[in-house]
Amino acid sequence: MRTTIQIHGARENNLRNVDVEIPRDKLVVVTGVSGSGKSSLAFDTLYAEGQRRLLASMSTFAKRFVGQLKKPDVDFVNGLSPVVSIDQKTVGSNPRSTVGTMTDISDYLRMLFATMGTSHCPLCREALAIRTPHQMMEHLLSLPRGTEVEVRAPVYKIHGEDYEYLFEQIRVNGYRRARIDGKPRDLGDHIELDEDEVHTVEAVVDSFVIGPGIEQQVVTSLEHGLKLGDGLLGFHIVKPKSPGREHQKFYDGFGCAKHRLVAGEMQAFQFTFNDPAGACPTCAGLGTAMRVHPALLVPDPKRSINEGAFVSAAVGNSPDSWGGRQLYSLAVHYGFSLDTPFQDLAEKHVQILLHGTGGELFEVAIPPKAKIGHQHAGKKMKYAGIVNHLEHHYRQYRKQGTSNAGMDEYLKKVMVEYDCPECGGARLKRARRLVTIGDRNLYEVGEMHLADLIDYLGVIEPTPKQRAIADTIVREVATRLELLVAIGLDYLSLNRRSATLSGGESQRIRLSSQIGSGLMGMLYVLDEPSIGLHPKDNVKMIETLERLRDLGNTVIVVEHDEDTIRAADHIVEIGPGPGVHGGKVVAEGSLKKLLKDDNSLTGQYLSGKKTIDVPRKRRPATGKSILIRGARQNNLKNLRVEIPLEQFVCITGASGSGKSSLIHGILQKRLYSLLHDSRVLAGDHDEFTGSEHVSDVIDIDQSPIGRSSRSNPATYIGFYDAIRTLFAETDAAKKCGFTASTFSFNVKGGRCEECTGEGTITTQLSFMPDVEVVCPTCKGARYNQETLEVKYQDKNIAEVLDLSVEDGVEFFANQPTIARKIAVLNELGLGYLKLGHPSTILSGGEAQRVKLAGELGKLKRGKHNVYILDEPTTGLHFADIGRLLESLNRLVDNGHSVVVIEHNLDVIKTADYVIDLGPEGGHKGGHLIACGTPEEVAACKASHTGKFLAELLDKKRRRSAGA
Amino acid sequence: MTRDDDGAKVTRFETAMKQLIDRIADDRYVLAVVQVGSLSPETIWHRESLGLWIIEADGVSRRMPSDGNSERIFRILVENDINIHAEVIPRSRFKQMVEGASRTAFSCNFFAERRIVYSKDASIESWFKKANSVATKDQERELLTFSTWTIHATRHARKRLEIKGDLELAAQEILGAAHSVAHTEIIRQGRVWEQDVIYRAMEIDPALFQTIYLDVLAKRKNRRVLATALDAIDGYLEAHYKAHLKPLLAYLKKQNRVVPLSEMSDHFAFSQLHPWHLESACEWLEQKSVLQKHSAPFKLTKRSLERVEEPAYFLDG
Repeated sequence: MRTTIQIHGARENNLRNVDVEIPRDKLVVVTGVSGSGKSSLAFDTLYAEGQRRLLASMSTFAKRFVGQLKKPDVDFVNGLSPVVSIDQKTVGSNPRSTVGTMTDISDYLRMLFATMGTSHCPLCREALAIRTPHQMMEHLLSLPRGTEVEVRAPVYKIHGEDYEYLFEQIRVNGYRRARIDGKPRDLGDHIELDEDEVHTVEAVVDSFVIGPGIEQQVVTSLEHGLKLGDGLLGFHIVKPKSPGREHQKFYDGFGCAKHRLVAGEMQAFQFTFNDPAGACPTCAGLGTAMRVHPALLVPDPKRSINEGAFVSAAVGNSPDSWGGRQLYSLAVHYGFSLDTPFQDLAEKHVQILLHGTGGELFEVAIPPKAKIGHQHAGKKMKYAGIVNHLEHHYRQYRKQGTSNAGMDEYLKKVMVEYDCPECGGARLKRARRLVTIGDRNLYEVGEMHLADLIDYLGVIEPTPKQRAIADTIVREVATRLELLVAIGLDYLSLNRRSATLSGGESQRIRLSSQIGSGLMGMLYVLDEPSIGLHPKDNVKMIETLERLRDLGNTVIVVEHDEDTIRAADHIVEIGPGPGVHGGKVVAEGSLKKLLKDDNSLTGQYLSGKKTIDVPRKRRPATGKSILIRGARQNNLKNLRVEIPLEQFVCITGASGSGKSSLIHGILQKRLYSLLHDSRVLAGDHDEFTGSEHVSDVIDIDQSPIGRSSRSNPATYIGFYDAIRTLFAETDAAKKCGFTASTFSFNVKGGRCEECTGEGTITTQLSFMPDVEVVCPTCKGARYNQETLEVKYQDKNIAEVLDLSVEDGVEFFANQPTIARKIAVLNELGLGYLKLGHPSTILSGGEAQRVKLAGELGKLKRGKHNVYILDEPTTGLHFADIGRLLESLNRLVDNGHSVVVIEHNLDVIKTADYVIDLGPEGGHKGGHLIACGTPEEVAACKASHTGKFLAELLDKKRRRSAGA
Repeated sequence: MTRDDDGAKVTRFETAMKQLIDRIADDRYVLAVVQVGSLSPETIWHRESLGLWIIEADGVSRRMPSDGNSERIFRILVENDINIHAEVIPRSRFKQMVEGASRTAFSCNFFAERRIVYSKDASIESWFKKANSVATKDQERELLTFSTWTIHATRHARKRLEIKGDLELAAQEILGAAHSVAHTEIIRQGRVWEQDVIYRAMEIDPALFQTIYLDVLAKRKNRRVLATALDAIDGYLEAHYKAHLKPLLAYLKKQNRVVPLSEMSDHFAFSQLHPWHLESACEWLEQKSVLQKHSAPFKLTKRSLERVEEPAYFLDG
């Protein structure tokens, strides 16, 4: 039996004909400096080939429904198994995706609630037994012949709608009679009700005269009625009017004896908020509703209405538009000017604009510049205000039940979310919230922390009849929960939205799902699972990887984390350098072998031959700081935090301890709101001081710098424009009448029209993967022949784009503006990138460093920016981290402030100031545990970070002493 | 054909119906039979077939390739050499049809001349009886619908007469409007009638129908006769608009703002009122200065960035 995976002749991206043999059923770490080709080997070769072969084994019919994959550039790969990749991608922003839906635990819990949930009477909360329509029918047939029974469904109005709307909906569903507060009413009549009072409304579903042969119609009618009543039906004997004993017996034990309500059988889908059968009708299962926030409507109060003070998508102010006529008419009638800055308008006028005229009539006036609409002049109208107008539109949109990304985007600009007024965020219908197990409904169960949920499941008691099903479900849920807890996610709850999870959290959730699947013989490829993990949680992650291996799987991890590398059975190091300097296997084997291998850069760092040094002297405090008081965003516990400025500050703490809530949720958003856009709302806090010391706030994250192959480092940083100008200024270009735009591959003129400047042509083939071929006209150069004939220092524009950053520094040495910007890229370790490197193939770490280079390239004196970086060491080797720290320190040395959220102890130890949150994640976190220099934090016994930092600093001291 | 012949025809039809009922009496899946239309000697003259609704138990429909997707299945049967046009309708669908309010439910005048002729489900009889009374809101909506048709036809007729001078086509439009007025009159009286509505309406208001129907039909078509008929219809509309256009006026009053036509149409989406009915009514009300016509922006496609304008109306309550 084959015991290795054999890769021969891998040439994907920068790999240089790599031959490597990876042992199966082991934990294998692929490491190397950033850009060396680790991902090219693990993902673009191994994973891609495994997946391609799996898909190739499918029938032609099945292939039509799945995307086809390109064959990686490799001679052969032997010994592959079905392969699963678990990357760091955050889950999409779909508000319906939660931890529960991601892990499938919600599906199981829905089944559990449908199987053993107890429904309750909505009026007196008495527990109701569950009956199927057939059981109800049989019970009905126990009544004496000739008895007439009226079946009613309790119905409720939707929040924000009136009773008339409810009655219309009942009629649309095919029911005309109802009992309102117990009295029979015809919904075809006008019914006046006090909207502020709560009325009991029961739609009359059917009435049956008990007799032979009615079984089938009773069952169908009850099924329809249960839909209307959301699983509840009322049974009322209407003939004889005074029921005898025989009749009275009917109610005993049949449901709520007082309110005569019976609960129908429940199905799992009725507990999903993604199905109308289970979703709260007001929020359609989102758990939130939206309302207009007046601050969002006016992004810049310094502007007048005519200058576009209002968000243009919400209020049109062109003189020929409906909105423009309204605003002008209001201004004429109430005597204010549309040219007055919004902030200087009288409060009375602001109120009229936002909340309406309170029913007062006014005449339509036509703006002087209007070309159309003159026929409306002098007509009377009323104005409800922009806020009411938008909220009305929002309700109409929600009522339509359709989803429109453009509309959602627009609404998000001017509205803020709040808990749904009907379900309070529970997402479920009232009737579903009445179903409980152990006194908790499904929403309450979903709110519990995973660790508590395990305890809850341990104490629920199914009846002997339910036990067979319930036990299986509980076992399945408990196993999955235990895995999530074991992987350090005990602080999460099932209701937590996926969009709010970090990349690391979503990766770990997916990892736990894989372990939960119990499969063996699989090949798992993981991308830096240590990201986002505090050193104390990293141990758990390594244990999980080992568990996955011990189940009989091969686990290949692309990783730089020291502990993970030390735990690996086999290590493959790709290098020696990045890009064109990499692409070779420089070392492989066990840790022991690597430590002794002088070719291995990783080995040198692990053995301590090379280290990232602790600075001899920390920067002293400048006295300038940002003070946040009463921070309560997410789990923050009313924190008072002082963030020193003009220093290198590290924010540390366990996953979920509140680092991002503090830095992104409050610090960044508040500064952005104060400096740029008042519409950005910061997280919950009481006081924020010190912003006067800050000129700008810049978030340098790992998101891609562009989503199209037309974007590259040169276009992103901006020196491409200068290069094009250089070409346009050559004599050859001038002679041909070329301008700078001729040298752009994005517009017609100089680009190759065969491939429209892409350099490649993609042909779509049915049943076969798309074929991408180099453009036969320009041969991949992206430009037409005339443009390519123009040369600058003997190179045409395509050849310049093909230069590596390293070569670019030399090539543009006499062009200081361009050279300075390229040099920064080189200093950040990106010398291997080509100037025209498509941004789509940049890794997250590379994209972050390109952004950082962009910032470093435009440093100006006298500015005091706050740079925020979230785990900038992601994807960085020890050697790269050193370079990154140099750049960050350069920013601080130039008078800026750098705030870094980080778990990497090599970064933390070099910081000037550390703010440690914790002690744990979720509800157990949110406290300020320690702050001060790394040495001060290391001395704090309550701090987990301090403990690990102390060990590291000790090791360093011992090593220095030894030396 | 004589009166005696009509009587014989009625007997033949009734025999056919009885024979069918006898056949289905033992079929436990057929719950009830409703006779559609009258078999009176007054109306039998035009009948060529017998119309029935056959109510079947739920979940037992026999569907054939020619039946399409509708839950209501059309069958042609024959008894006593009389063809029977039967709609076989599941019980729950039937209940929804007669009790609900939607574009697929019946408008109230459809209940005219329908009676249960056979039933083994007492509950069907019970709620069919209740449903056979006209609901106030349904009556109001029917009035609104027929009034908008009247408005529409009258406006066209007046243009034919006054702009083109086309007496023949103007007269035809006026006769159409007169039929709508007849329906309106019948509904207004709280009555339901399926056929020969114009005769019933003439009994209710002979003077009005003399002017708007009989004079237009019988007299030589001249400008004066037609103009008088149009004025009479206008007068009728004007006299009753508050009642006949009540659902629309009540909605606009409740909104208390300028309401775009598309929004108004959405509000009435589950009735048999279509946007052009509402437009006709709003335009007429605007001419009478009851409403003010404005305009509102409208997106033609869900991705459109540019806006066109649609009519919007305001009622100063």
